[in-house]
Amino acid sequence: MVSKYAIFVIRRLIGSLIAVFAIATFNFFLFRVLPGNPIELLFRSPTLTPQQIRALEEQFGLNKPMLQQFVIYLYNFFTGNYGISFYYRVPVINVLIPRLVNSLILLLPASLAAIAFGIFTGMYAAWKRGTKVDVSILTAAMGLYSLPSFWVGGLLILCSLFYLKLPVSGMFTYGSVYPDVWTYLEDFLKHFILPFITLTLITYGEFTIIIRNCMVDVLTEDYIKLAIAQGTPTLRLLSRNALKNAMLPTISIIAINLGLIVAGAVLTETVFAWPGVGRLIYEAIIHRDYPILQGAFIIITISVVAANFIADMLYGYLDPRVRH
Amino acid sequence: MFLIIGLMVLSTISSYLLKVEGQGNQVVFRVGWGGTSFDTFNPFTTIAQISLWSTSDVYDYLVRFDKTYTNFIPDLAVSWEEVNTTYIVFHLVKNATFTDGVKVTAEDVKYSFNLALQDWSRLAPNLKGLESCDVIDNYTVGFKVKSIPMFMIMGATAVPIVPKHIWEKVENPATYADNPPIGSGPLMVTEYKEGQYIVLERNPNFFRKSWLPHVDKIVISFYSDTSSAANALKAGDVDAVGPYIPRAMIEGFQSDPRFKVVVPPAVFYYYLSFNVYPEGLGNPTLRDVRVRQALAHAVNVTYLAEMSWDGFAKPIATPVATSNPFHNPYLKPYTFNLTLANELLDKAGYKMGSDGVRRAPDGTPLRYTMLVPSNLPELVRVAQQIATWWKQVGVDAKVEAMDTGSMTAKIWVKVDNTTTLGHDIDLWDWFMTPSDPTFLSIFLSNQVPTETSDSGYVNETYDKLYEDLFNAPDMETARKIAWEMQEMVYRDLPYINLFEVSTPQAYNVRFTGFSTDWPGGPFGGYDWTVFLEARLAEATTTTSAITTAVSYTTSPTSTQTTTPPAVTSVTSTALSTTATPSGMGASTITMVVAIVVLVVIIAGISWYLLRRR
Repeated sequence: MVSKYAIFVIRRLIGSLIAVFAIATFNFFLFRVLPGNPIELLFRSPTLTPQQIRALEEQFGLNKPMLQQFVIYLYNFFTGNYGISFYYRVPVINVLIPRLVNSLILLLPASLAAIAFGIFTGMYAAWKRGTKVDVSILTAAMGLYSLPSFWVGGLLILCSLFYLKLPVSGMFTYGSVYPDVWTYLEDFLKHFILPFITLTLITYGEFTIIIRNCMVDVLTEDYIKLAIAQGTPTLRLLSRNALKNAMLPTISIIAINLGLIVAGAVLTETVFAWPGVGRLIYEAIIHRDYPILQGAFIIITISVVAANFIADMLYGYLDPRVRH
Repeated sequence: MFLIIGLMVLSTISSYLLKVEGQGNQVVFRVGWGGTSFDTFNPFTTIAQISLWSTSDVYDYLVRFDKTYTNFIPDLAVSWEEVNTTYIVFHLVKNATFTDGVKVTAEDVKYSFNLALQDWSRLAPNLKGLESCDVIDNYTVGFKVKSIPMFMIMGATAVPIVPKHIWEKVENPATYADNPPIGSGPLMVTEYKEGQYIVLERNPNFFRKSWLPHVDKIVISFYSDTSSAANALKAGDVDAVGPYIPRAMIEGFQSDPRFKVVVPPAVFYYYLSFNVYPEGLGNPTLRDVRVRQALAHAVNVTYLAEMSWDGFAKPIATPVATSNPFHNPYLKPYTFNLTLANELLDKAGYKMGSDGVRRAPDGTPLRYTMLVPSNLPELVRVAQQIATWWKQVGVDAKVEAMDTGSMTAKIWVKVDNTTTLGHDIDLWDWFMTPSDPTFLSIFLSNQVPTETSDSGYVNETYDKLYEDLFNAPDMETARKIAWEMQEMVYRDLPYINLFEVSTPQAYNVRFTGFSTDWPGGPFGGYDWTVFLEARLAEATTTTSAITTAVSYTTSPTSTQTTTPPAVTSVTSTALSTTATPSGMGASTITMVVAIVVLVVIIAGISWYLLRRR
């Protein structure tokens, strides 16, 4: 006898696969609706000959009918072959994976830090709801949430130029020879700290607001009043009785955010010249580099769908009502 | 598949760790590039200026240009002789080797020119006049060409000599990545990461020791835009930036004693193009040259140059840059005279309508749409200014700013499978070739289908002259033909040429040795000598303040040193500190501790929350 939970998992899994496939189809046509011919945009050169254009179109399969290109695309999608980048002229995977790793190195710690701070301050604000503390935390969160990342990044760069003297671009001092691992780590951390702060600041607000609101809902429930009446210590009450229930809606928000970090952070990465996947996508759009765009969007799709799937699973695990 | 991806993730992470090796106090010259990023090493298919520039010293050429683009410097060819007006013989150096140890011979030269002639090669149009290439002996190679001066300018200086023994084994040279490139030049590529950076080091076996670079390493890092590259220069992450610094940041660099700003001869310009294509779909009144002449008189190019790039832009009357040896200096921009423009239109029979817009005798109103790329805000302002002047002569022009993709789709439209021009007017920029007259090909009659010509100028005499250019027996004739062609487009006005812009670049005064008057500038992507000439200026105590992170030697290496790298890499003085300066070390430890604490807290919370009661 298959358990109800297993049926739930299988149903969600099938739903996720359908979503991935639908988005993959959409991906193909999305970029081809963009106006402008990739060859012309890439090679705006007064000396381009018709022979060269034909050779390039053949090389990238652009001379085939759209439907045939789509079939090839689907076949490649299922065999894990993302094609050759128009711009870099190497397999997409070779370009995409290192950039993805770079983005994760930056975004994962920043998101986790933002979530951690968000839980703390959100919880505190909810406990002190209606007071000046609550209002000031909410205002700060709202303010940070609405700040554009390039502006925050620009401010930090300005600070760095005058006071901090930290490097403002790249992941490392490229081309350096490091005498030991510590110097190497130091170099990395110096490059890491400014984009890390920027990203943490701008994502922190969102989590704080969500967690505070969920907590306020929970804290007004009768069982909390009962717990207070029973004399449960505040910290224990918050973390054990309240936070657990408040986490339910928060989990899906966190999951989607974590799923989206594989998309990189275009603005922050550009401002700090962080060689992440966001910058790659941005440049690929300028170059109309379809294979890179398709590869990147498929990875984003899979990651978001997978994150949602995991969130669903957790939900079902934590809240038995969902399974039915 | 996931296994492969997983392995790649691991290898990416480990590749960072593997770089920790050895002790070194090296002089590193860092360039930040804010233009289009590096595409491929394959010198026959690359389209990015940065790819050509950063590998300009990795491959050898037969000869090299000097900065006037009229004299030639021996490279692989130590001497050359013109047997007659159509045959030229090059004598190669005998001790040149590729970085894999194989000797460079005449066979490699012939093979490289043969590759360059292929359909898919970007160099094929350069070799229009090349008839045959003969290997005379191992170190002598002869070329039968239509015009020796054109071959020197466009072939001998442009075709990189690649190793035949490697390339002939390649299945398809058109898609070959050529990474790492095996060349015979003074530099070699030691590290490259797509879209991130490239590291060049001296080739110790290079045959001409005097060309070897004065620094141990050259690092070129790629930025998505010029502002972040300029910020990196300010912060000391890089020592120079190209292809230019943004207009708004120039004053900041000029007033800072740590930097020097270079304002080089221009290689880049803005123009306004009319759709004059006979089969074009735009407003037909623009095909009347009298209308275009009147409109040209209603544009004040001097004012526009001042308005958008004050001090850095110069009005230009031809599409050939002032610094180009083929530039016609006798052509001057049309005078700005609104009264004259009005008179010309009256005379041509374009009567003013009641709504202030003139009409052609057949009733077509002089109402146009001007397309401008929105990523060039200064050009959008220029277009708006032109529209206000034209309003005063009874011409209604609507400015439409859009991304370049949409613009190309509006300019070149397909009707029944043939490409035609669909717009009225567009404003755009071109990077002009600094050395040769090939740029004049944008007005050739057959350039609409290749989506190169946005004017659709069709003129058989002009096409014929362009052919003659490649048959010119000497430089004087070639120049005269180029001048005549420029006069023709000046008269017929498919373009109103607006102004050329010098692209200001900046570098840290810690380094010196750059030629500031190279067309396009030392960091503009054209100057092949910059990596060989870059050297440290006198080391001072203030310079160490702006070096970041890992310290490098700031010792004054003697400027003319040609000692092999093994010797120079150990030159260090008391100035060059090793590892971490004490103050920075403490802050790093704090940072490490903070991050570890953070990770522990996060892990703890998640464990606590997810634990079931």
